[in-house]
Amino acid sequence: MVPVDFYFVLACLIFSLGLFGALFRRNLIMVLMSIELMLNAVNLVFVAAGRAIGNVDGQVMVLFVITVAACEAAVGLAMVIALFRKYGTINTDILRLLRG
Amino acid sequence: MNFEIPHLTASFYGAALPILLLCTSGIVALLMGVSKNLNGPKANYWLNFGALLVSLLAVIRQYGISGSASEMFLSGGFIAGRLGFFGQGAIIGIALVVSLLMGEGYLKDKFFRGEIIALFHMVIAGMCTMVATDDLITLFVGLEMASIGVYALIGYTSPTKLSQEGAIKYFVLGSVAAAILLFGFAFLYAATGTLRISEISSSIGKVSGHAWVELGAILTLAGFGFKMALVPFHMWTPDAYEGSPTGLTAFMATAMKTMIMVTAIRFFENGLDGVHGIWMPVIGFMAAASLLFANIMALAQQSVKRMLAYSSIAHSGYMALAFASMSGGVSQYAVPSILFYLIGYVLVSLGAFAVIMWLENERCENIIIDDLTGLSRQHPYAAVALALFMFSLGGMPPTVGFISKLYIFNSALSNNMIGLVVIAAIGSTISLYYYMRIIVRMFMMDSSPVLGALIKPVASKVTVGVVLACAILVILFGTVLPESGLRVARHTAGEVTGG
Repeated sequence: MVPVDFYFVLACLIFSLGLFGALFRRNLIMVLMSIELMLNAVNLVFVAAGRAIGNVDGQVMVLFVITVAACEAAVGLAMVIALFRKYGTINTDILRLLRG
Repeated sequence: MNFEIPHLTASFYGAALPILLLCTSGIVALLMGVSKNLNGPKANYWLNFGALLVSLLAVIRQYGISGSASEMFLSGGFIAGRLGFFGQGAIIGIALVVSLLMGEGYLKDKFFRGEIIALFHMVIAGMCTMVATDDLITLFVGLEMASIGVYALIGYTSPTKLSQEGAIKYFVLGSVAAAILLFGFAFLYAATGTLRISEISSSIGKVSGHAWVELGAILTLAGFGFKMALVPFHMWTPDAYEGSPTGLTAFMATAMKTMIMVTAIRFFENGLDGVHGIWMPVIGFMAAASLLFANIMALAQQSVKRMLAYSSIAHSGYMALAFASMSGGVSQYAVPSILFYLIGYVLVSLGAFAVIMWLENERCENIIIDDLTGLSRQHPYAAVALALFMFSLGGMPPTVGFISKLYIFNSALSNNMIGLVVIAAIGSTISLYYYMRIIVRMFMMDSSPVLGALIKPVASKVTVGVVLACAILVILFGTVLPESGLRVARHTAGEVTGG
């Protein structure tokens, strides 16, 4: 059996990819997808740890994380659509009213 | 793991009444939004007022009857204890004041719509859930109920370009913060096998290596740092505060801060006390960075809301200073000083934002500091009140800002953190400049042409009441009542520190 630490290292890699994408991507859809990637890395740790410990709390948490991720995506996409209607683009470079 | 059947007794329903009531009133507001007769600002105003007032009274009663020991329901999902009720009472009270102020402002008709009130009440219910839970799943759900609702409220209440930009920046960074916090929870779970805050400390090292605990503690600290707006995780704060309608800025600066501080007290004091060697130096560094960086950045701001945002980062820094002195034996000073600071900060912020909200109108949505020039000539009372709140934010003696800072420094010194206190004193001195700048503009210069556009013919009743109440309390807590304020804080903190 694969040691549980391997799952944690994989999750860290996926999470770093997501974090990098969320902070440095210019396209808002890609940002939203990167946030989903981060949450999926979290899910991987919870499932692997729950399986290794033999305790269902981790799996329960994953169900809640999936639900909340869906809500977050819904609100996020609504904001992206509202932004597209105002500016005609979803590139983050247009967000330059607030600075300093 | 053993499953216990949750015992939902009358005492559970009594303790959870505010949350249940707010969820119900949120749904009622949504239903009223689709009805023909009840879908007006007036109906929503009274629904909001009634629901918040009843839940506030219920929380105050629960706080009064709760003993020194807290009672757990739903296997840790809900704690009926003094700290939780204190947080809930503060949050609901703030929401009541903010919504009453909104009812007098120019955004009245936009705020008192069914869907906005529904969102608002769900946000408050989420906050109340988060401050009174021992379970990481419930904590996360409460946090996201509050955060997602606030993203939507900012972007949707008055959909201007400014507020939508603020909302989307807050959304992206807030979601990243939630994911980081959750990643930390995942590693704490992996290392301890428990999702109960009170069991983390005793289970460390039971399941897997120490490295994962350290990673988990640092990641949760980063997540909390994001939500508390500590440097270097503060980037969202100025944008979100400046972009959102001022009533919601006040709500975020006070209620969100109360929520996250109370939760962080519970989490770090009860949960991560066993590994305080890891997170204490980090939060100490974050406190020092916030105190210096935020105060220096605030010097250059023109917008009043943006300046108050940087000031809110700096005030988080003072509270983080007390978190850094919260180790092992001396937390009986640190936790009450954080709570007392929170009370003072909430009172002062609500008062200051009430004055700013009263000055605003459709033509002038984002007041800059120059607009306030000569305010004392036109509206001496408003200028005096704003000056008092600025004095208190800067920590000048006859106000609560001075006493609460004293308690924070005292708790840090009792833990021998002299370097941090010196940095905090330097930051505090820098901050005097930008608070005094507003006072100088208001009292020592002639009126600006913009001020004419801001002038209101009459003072509105609620604003006068709120400003007067905040001002009186700020002075009372600063002169004759600090001891009783601290006694309440100690009494409240007893739930987590013991005694």
